[in-house]
Amino acid sequence: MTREEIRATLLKCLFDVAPEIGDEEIESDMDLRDELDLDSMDILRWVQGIHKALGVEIPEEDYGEITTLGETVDYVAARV
Amino acid sequence: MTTYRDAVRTALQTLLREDDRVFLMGEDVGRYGGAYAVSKGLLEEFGEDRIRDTPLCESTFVGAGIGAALGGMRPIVEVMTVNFSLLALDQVVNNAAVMRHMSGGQFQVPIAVRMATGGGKQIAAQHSHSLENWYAHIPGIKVLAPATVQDAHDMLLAAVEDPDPVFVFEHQMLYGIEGELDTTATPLSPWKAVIRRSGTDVSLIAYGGSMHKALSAAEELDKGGISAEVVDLRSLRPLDRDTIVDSVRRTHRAVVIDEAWKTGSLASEISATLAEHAFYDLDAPIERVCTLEVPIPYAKHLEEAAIPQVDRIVEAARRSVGDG
Amino acid sequence: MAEFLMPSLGADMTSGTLAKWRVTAGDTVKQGDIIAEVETDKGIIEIEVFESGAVQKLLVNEGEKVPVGTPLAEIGSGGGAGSGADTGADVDAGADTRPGLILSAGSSGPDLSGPMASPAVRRKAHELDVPLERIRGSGEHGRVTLDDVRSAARPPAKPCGRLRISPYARRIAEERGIDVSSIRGSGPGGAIQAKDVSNAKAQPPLKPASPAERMQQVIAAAMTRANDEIPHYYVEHTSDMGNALTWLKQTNASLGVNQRLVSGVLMLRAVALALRKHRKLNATWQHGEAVPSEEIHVGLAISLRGGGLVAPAVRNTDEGSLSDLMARMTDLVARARAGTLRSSEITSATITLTSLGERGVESVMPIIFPPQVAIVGCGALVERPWVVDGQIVARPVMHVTLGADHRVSNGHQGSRFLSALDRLLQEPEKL
Repeated sequence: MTREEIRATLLKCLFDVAPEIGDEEIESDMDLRDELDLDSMDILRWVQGIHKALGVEIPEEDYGEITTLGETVDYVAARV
Repeated sequence: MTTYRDAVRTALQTLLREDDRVFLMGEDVGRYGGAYAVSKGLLEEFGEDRIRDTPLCESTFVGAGIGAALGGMRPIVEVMTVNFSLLALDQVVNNAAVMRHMSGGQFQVPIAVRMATGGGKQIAAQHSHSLENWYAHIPGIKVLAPATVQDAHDMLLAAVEDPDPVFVFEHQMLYGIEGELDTTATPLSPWKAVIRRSGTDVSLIAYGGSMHKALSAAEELDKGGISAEVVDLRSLRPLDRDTIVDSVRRTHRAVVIDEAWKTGSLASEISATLAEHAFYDLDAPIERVCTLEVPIPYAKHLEEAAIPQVDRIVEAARRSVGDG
Repeated sequence: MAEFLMPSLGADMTSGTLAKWRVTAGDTVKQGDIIAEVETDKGIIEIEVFESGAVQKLLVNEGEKVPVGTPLAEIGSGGGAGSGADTGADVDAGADTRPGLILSAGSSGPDLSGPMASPAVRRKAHELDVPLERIRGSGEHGRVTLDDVRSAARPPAKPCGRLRISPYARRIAEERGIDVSSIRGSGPGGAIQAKDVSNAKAQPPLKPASPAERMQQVIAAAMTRANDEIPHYYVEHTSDMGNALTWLKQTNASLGVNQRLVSGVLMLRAVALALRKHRKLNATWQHGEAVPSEEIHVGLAISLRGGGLVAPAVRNTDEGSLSDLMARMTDLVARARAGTLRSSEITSATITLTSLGERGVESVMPIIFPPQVAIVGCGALVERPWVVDGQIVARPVMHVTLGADHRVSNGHQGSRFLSALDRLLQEPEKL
């Protein structure tokens, strides 16, 4: 699976959680919680979505490593 | 040009010529030619069997007409004025109006009753009243009020053709008016109200003699920049509610003109109908222009003051549009 | 035979558009089934039916906009499995439609649930401009008397009493969303006529509002009413969230990703359990008095990113396991964001819980959502110096605020509620 494919899947999961974001440009180094106003419920649903789509389970103690889209692609790419 | 009187006579002639069952009876309709000269010359043309002078007894000859109608004839009964017709009310209310109902639909009463109504000729308090709303109150009969030459002709034909009792009220001031009469045109349904003049600011709702005053008032209002619509009711029972309500829904204001006394009048009925069906379209209180609640006076200036006139209609319309 | 009415999905809803029928005539439905979708200012709402029986007839077409209270369908016990038991359900269900209407107190629509009052009393109330539903009746069975109306009469809001305005003018003003109270009438006696309304329309720029703007208008109306009518009081407590967060972390470490909990669900459950012993706060204000609710349905304030705010209820918040509550909360948030909430969720909350984000402000003074009588607001979780066993240590703490209706409860009761809530949060394993 390429990084591009992972990125696309992560974005799709994110839109499922927060459909209101719409076509807003999401940059790789944007802090998702701050810029997109995601709360812990949103993050949890995202993590659940990633697990379902890619089989990667992200434990809570690793939440610090998935603060941006770029970081999350790295995190998932290392485990998928 | 034809007069209203001639238009009624033309209709009578047509009916008498085309249908053997039709005959005319009433006080002075034969030798004298009718109190308003409507039937002049008919005795000579159709003979005594079909143009019958009657005794001065409305109860008898209206009752005889009802009997003839039950027996298969198509009687046209002329009553001299609406005031006199009260003597025949028992026959009208207890026989003509209910026979179809009481017989379970076995009998019908195809009678047409014509009579003069209204004031303006200085014939005082026993010959000048407008009591057509008494008749319009009664289920089982139909009531027409032709205001134009064409309607005077067409409505009489429709009244005789109708299988139920039809009462035709001819305003006594209208017999002399002139207008076009087309006896070949397809007549308008007599049961529908008609917009005689279109307007956008206020609806003047009238019938019979008052309809012409409403038209004059509309012209007067037009000079002051108020666009008045004139609705001619034509049929007083059944009332054409849709046309009345539709007009007021467009103009949002209503002035109802009725030569009867205001209390318990057709104007009251129309006002209530508008309150029921056009309440949320009304932009001003409904105005009624009716006859003052006095016996119609003999003196000319008092008679004129008592019954609705153009200036009172204009005033009411102006109040209604907030321009008074 | 029962009529299925356009429900009021909020205090300020006056009409709704029937977006979609989920049933057709002849279908059998039971209480709680979703039978229609209604488009409101809050988006598309799925509408549940209170009756059981066969759908006899649909009375309103898809796409039609009708006022609240308009019959949408006839539902009867005929057709379907018309057994005796069904008829019984029908009777019960008939009574069940009332809570939905009661929740609409103050909105327009047929006043089926108004207080008992004679025509003369209603007339007097109208003359004196006193809303009958705000009067507590002193007569037999709570009947409102003439004296009650007189004593409730306030100094009239408008010096001239009832506005002189023609029915047509009032109608077009409503259609165009124009406030008639500020219009000067040019008609007889200063009556406002249609032309006055037409002249006034230039004042407020009334563009067709976007969904987000409409929702903001709804919120504005509800909050204005709340601030106008409800005498709020506030009490606040700072809770040590250390135990709760530690327990959460440990618990989640042993749970699969789909069973994990968030701190919000702990707060939701703690509020519900604390309410069990503080029933006065779990109520709605109806016709001038607080009506306590047997069940606890905590409304969750959810801020939508497109703008707007919804507060659907997590029904029976005090019941079921914590993981079950988590699942229900997750589902509710997802549907709120997707715009597929149900009518019962929109109208049934008995109190509201609002959290202003996890990294936002430290405390919030929330406004009560009518007809509820209380609201709990949570600030952000922040680390602060805290005294534990005589030592100053860093602890995660949260400001929890209660805004409550002083007509119903007082500050002492409110503070006892927050103390109870705090104790519950110290023992998260018992939630």
